[in-house]
Parts: sequence; structure tokens; C-alpha cells
Amino acid sequence: MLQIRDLYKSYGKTTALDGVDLHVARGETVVIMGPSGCGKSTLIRCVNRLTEPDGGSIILGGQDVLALQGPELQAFRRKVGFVFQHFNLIARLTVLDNVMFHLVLAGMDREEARARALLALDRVGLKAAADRRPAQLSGGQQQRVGIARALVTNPEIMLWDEPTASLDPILVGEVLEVMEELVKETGTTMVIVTHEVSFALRAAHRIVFMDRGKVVEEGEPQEVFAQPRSEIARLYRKLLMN
Amino acid sequence: MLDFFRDGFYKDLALLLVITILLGAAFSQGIAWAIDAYFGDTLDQMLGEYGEYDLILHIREEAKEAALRELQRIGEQSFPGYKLNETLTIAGQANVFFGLPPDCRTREVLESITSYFGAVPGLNGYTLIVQPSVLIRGVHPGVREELRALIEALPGVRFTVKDGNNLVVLADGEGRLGQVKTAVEQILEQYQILELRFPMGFEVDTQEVGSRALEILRARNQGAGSRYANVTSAQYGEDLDVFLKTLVEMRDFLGSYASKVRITPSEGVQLAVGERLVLEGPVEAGQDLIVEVTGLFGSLAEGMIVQGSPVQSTDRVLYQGFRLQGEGERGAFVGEVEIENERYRLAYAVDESLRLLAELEELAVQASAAVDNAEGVLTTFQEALLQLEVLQVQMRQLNEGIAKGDAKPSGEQFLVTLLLNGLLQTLAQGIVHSGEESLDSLENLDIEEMRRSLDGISKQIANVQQIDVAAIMEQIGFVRDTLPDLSDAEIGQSIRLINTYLGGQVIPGERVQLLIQGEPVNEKELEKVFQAELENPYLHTYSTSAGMVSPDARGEIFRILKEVRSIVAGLLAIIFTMIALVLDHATIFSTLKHLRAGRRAAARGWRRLVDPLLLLGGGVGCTLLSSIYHLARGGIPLVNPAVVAVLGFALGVLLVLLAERFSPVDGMELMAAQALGLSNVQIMREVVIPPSRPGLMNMLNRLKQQF
Repeated sequence: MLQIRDLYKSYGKTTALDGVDLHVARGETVVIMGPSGCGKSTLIRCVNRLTEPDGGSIILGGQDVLALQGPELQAFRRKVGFVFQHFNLIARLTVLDNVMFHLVLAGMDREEARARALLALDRVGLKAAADRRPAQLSGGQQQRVGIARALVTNPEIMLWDEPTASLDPILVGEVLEVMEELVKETGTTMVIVTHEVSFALRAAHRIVFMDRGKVVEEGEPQEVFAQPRSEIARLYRKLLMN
Repeated sequence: MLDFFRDGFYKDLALLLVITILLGAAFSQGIAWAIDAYFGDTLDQMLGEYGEYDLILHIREEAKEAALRELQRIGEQSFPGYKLNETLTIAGQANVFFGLPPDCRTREVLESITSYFGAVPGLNGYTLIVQPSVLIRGVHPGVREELRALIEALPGVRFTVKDGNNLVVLADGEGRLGQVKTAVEQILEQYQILELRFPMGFEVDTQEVGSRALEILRARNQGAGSRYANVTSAQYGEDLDVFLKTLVEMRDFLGSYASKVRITPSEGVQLAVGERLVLEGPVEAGQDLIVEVTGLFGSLAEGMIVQGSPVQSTDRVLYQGFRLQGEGERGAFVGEVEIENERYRLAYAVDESLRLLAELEELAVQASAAVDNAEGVLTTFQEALLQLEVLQVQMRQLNEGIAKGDAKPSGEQFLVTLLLNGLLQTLAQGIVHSGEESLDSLENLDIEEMRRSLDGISKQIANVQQIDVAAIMEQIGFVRDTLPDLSDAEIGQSIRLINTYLGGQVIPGERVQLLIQGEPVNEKELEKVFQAELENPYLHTYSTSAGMVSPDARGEIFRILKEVRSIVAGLLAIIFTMIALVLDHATIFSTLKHLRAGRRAAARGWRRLVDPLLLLGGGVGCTLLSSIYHLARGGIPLVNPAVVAVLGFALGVLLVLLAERFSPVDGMELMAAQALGLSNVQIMREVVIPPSRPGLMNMLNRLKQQF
């Protein structure tokens, strides 16, 4: 499904990605873990070209992502769901409009878009809040709107950029719950950047550990936590044990 | 970077630019036009339409009503179809506009304004405002007629009008005014008035000196093809000369009228002109007596009282002089100061003269009476002498009779003879003689001569009495009363003031004015030549024009209004461009900068100068400002199209540099929109522009915005 090879990205003298290789199979849920600044967010932003990599290749569904330009790139992005750490909702739009507006702009009938948006909102338990503004919602609710917005296009792959990092610990649960349901029910390919070790253990098919722009270890959750080979994996294991 | 515009936003941007330019031009020109129209209308109400009136009559306010009635009468009688309009009254002077009918706008009428309007009550003067015209100020009388002939031969000139020292050139139409003005200036440039000024006190034969000066000029400038003429005019600029001469005379009079101050400095004391001394000695009650040193003559000095009054005396009064230090403080002794109060002496002499005349009148009356008495005495004396002669004969006969014995004198006869001899002795003024000798001496007195002398004295006294002493006394009294009642301090201050004024003026003396037509001359170079050739090192030369084209006041006001309109339009164009850039384009550049930040590292150093974003910003600013400025007919002095373009470019560059401050973009919303697969134009229309500043772009965007 997703093949990342030898991916490089640097910001000035700082190297964010240093020859990353990653393969994600269709329907697979891959959790990427690692310390802050190790390149996790840069990696998944490169996947939908929110960040332009300096080198390497990204193949998604057989498409060379880095070769896409203009309308093709936009069409590609519509097939990739992206959930942001800070929700990134459009403040002036209602919850419903936030979820449906890109469908309409992509050419979908307004009514159909509305129906699909309401369905997506229902799925994340926010149908009743459709007419509210993002500012009127809690952080957890806003993130669920963000998830609904990503889901509404039925994406081939969903990219999650630390979806619970900006939430109060009390609100983290409701988001993780939705995420787990989605993983189990949709069967959509997912790449999730998170520090939630227990969630990874429960939901992920595979965990990838990154450090200093490189993939340092990967494997099935039970396997990597049972016999961690890298220092990062051992740290996360300790976290899990505590 | 240009990829951003390719998916359709370029259309939005182009539309925005066009509408901004049109709106900006309309706004700038509209406001400027409104200002122009407002002031133009106000001026029209005050001054009338261009060319509507031909002269302003200046009339004393109190005579305004009568003047207006008279003007109406003159208008109806001499100028049927005239226009009359009373306008502003300033400082007690009413100004009335008078418009002549077109067929009366002739040289004859315009040069005879005084003969038509001279009898208007309260008329203080008039100003010609006939249009379209070019006004030449200060036309030298020696060249006026020559200039008139040349100017009237110019195409587009109707005629010229002499108005005092000015010449008004009437043009065929307003459209030809510029052409006429240029041609007149070209003519005037060919003429130069070279003035030779001699200091005061030099008596100069202007004709002779003028001829010599012309010879010098011709000799120096042979082959130049110039024409030279002596056009010395006594009236040209004479008023100031007369005034300055009067001032000089007044200063001299005041100087002689003031008390004379002579200072004898003590041994080793050095005084300086301008130094002040405080005097100790007899003074009038009041302030200290202070003198200022006005001149140094060897070991002596002269001064002038600047404060206080000396005691009034016809004699010289001696004072002790001390240096004045600080605020009236007495310093070291400097010497003796002698003051002669000339003014008091003059007043004293006048008073004594009046007293003398009164005494003289009385003396004449008394002298006349005395002469009359003397004449009576002389007559009586003459008769007595005759009787004495008779007695003398009788006595001689008696003496002879006694001597011969023919007669014997009685005791009475002897006694009478003795008495008569004594009387005769007395009459002979004490000369003791015998009776006969005394009578002889009395007979020798020239009574007739004495009478003639008395007659002569009588006539002299009569002549004196005929003198109208009363009239003389009255006039001397008048002179005494009209003598300036000034103190020495006041005189001193007046002299200082006059000196201060004269210090800034050239004291005029005789002058010679030469007309130069053709190659202009350098008056400073010629000054040395004239000084040498005319043997007068004090001579100075000045160069003036034969006349100066002066824009007429109304035309100038309207021209200034046009300029103001252009300046206002230009300024508004700049302001509008700045507003448009901040409200609309800052959002675009802020978005572009944000998008670029995610793609590559920002350029540093000199590379920033060729940053495409800066160039694009400069281009937008340049296009906007240049177009709006041009379409709004902006015209700021010293700001040409190139400057406007550069200014627009600079504004655009500045905008790009400060775009995020003017219009920040929500990067998270922008990133979400990208991630959702929106095109750039969709991102702008749906995400970036709607929450941006409320400008034209925001307004236009609402037509296309879906959410």
C-alpha cells in the first residue's frame, strides 16, 4: 500500500529524516513511536506532501507521490485522511461545514455531502453538535470533528499526527476509543504517530520506533515490547510496565 | 511560486487589480475634483468667473452705498451692459467688481479708468483684472513704448494697457495666454537696465555721465550688436529715495537739537563707540543720566544722551562720567563730561526775543513822546533867544548911554542887566561869559540842525512803530510752540532707530540708468570699470530687468487650485494604494510566504533582494500606484512617473516584508485545507480570504465563496 524508501528531509542544518524506509500493507495499522523531534510528524506529512522531502521516494497505492503536481496532487490528497495534533478546524465554519465543505469543493452534490458528513459525525458521536462552531466544543470533541472530516472521504489511508497530544488526559480516552473503533471496524490502512503505548499495544498491527530521523526498530507490538532491541523500544516498554 | 496562481487565482487577482485601479483612480480624482469644485465655486462667488469682471474698485467702506449708486449711474451712462458686484470688505475698504461690456474692453477705456470713475465717492483706487492677460510689473518708463510696440506685434496679442508702472497685455483668448506669456518673457529677456548709483552728496550730471558710460559700454562690447541708451528717469523708484533722504535730514536735525555731550577721558582711559556712561552731577529728577559714546576724536569723545535729562541751563554743565556696568551699576570713573543743552538755549533765546519785542514796542511809544516834547522845548528855546536878542540890543543901548553919560541907569535898570547876564550864562550851558559873550554863544546854536535831527529820529521811531511787532511775536510764539517736545533720551533713541533702519538701506544718491538691448552685461565686472573710468570709487552698479512678467492674482489662484487638485489626487492615490495593499494584497503575500516556508529554507542575505516574492510585491505596488496615480491625474511637485513607479515598488516590497503583521494567516487552517485536497484558488476563496481584513478582495470574494 505505502512504500517509503530512503526518505530524506532537513531543515537547514537539522536533519529530520535520514534515509527512512517504511512499508505499510493495505489494511494494516502501523503506529510510529519515538521521542520528540525524531522525525515522526515530518515523515507522515511527507506522505501527503504537506512537507516536501529532499530525497527518496514515496509510493502509495502504486502512485509516485513525489511526482504528483497540481490537480493530481489535490486528488491524491483527497484519498488520504489526515488527523492533526491541533485539530486544524476552520474556525468560522460550523462543525457540519467543516466536515463537508471539501466534499462540495471537490464537486460532490451539497445534499449528498451533507448526508455523508452527518454520517461521519454520527460515527464519532457528534451529530448533535453539527451546527456548533469549533470554539464551542471541547478539545476532545474538536479532535473527533477532525477525525470525522478525515473519514468522510472514505480515504484509502489515514494518517494520524499525534491526535491526542494536545488533549487533557481526561479527554484522551474518548478520542482513543473512537480511533480503536475505526481501526477495528473500517479496516482502513492507518499510520498513527502517537506516544500512547497501551493504545499501540491494543490497536496496532505493527509498531515502528524512530530515533534521530531513522527507523531503529519495528515489529509486532507484543514482539517489540517483549524483546526490545533498541534503546527507544526499551524506554517505551518501561513506560508500558509502569 | 507562480504555481500558486495557475489553478485560477490569477483571474481573481487580475480582477482585483483592475477594480482596485479603477476604484482608486475614481476615488482619488473624485475627492480632488470635489475639493477643486468647492474652492472654485467659493472663489467664483468672491471673484467672479474668469474674465467676468475687468476691474476692482477699492472704496472706503463708509462711502460704499453712495459709490454703488454712482457706479450704477456711470455704468448705465457709459457702459451699457456692465456688471457690478460688491465683494469682500477688508480693513474698512469695500471692493467692488466692475465688468465692462465686451465692446468697451479697449485700450482707450482701460487707460481712462480714472476719468470715468474718478468722481466715485470714496474711491481709493482700482486694480485691473481684465482677462485673459499677462501682467508685466515695473516696466521702466524709458523702454515702455518700445516694449509696447514689440508686444503688440506679437501673434495672439490684442493690445496693451498702461497701468501705472505696469503693462497689461491682453491676449486674444485664454488658450493663447501661455504662448503670449512665453513670447513676452523672451522679449523682456533681451532688455536689461543697468543702474549706476552714486553715493549721497555727489552732484552728477546724469546726461554727461550717462553719455560717458554709454561710450565705455560701446567700447567694451564692440561687435556684440547690442543697443545702449541713457534712460535715466527721475521718477523711477524715487519715492524710497525721497523717504531715505528725509530720514537722513531728520536724523541730522535731531542730532543738532539734542544736547551736546563732550567727554574728556581721564589719563589712560580708553573709550569705545557704543559704550555707555552714567553721569553724576545736576540732573532732572527721575532716572540716572546715561550717555552713549557716538564718536572718538583724538583724546576727546562725543556722546548722545540715551536715558535721563540733564539740568536745564544755558551754560555748559560739568558731570563726572562712570562706566555703566550691568543693570545700571556704576563702574570706574572715566572722565569729565560736558553737556550743552542746545534745546534749552534755543527755547531760552526764543523767550528772550519775545520779551525784547514787547519792550521794543513800548520803547517806540515812549521815544515818540520824548521827541515831541523835545521839539516843543526847541521852539520855546528859539523864541526865548529872539527875545533875548531884543533885550541884548536894549542893554547895549543902555550901556552905551551910560558910557556917554547921556543916561544914568537907575537902580532897577542895573538890576535887570545883572539878572539877564546870569540867565544868559545859564542858557549858554554853564559857559561863564559876560552878558554879550553868553548871548553870542547861544546865537551860535544850530537850532535848525537840531530840529532836522529830531525830525529824523521821529521818522525812525515812526518806522519802528509801523513794524507789526504783534505778528512777529505771534509767529515766534508759534515757532516756540512747534519745537519738538522731546527729551534727550527720546531724541537719542530716535536717532538710534533711524540709524538702524538706514543701516539696512542703500542711501540713494544720484543715479544713471542705461538700457541695454541684446547681449546682457555683467554688472559686477562693469562696476570696477565704471569706478575707474568715471573716477569714482564709491559708484555702484545694479542690474534690473526692464519689466517682469507676473502672473495675475486670479489666474495664479486658479493655477494653484489646479495644482492642489493634482497634489490631492496624487496623495490620495498613494494613500489608496497603501490601503489596498494592506487590506487585500497583504493577505495574499502572507499566504504565499506561509506556503513557501513549508517547501524550502528562506533565502538569506543578498539573495533576499532577488526574492521572487519581493519582486512580485514590488511589481504589484508599482502597477497599482502608477496606474491609480496616472488615471487620477495626480501631480505632486518633484514626483515624476519614475518616482511614482519606484515609490509603488518600494511600497510593494515593504508590504511583502511586513505581510504577516498586516494580515496574519492561520497556518493550521491553511495546512488542513491543503491536506483536504483543496486547490489554491479554493484555499484562498474558502479559507484564507473570508477571515481576512475587510477590503475589496474580501468583498469581491463573497460573490464566489461557497462556505
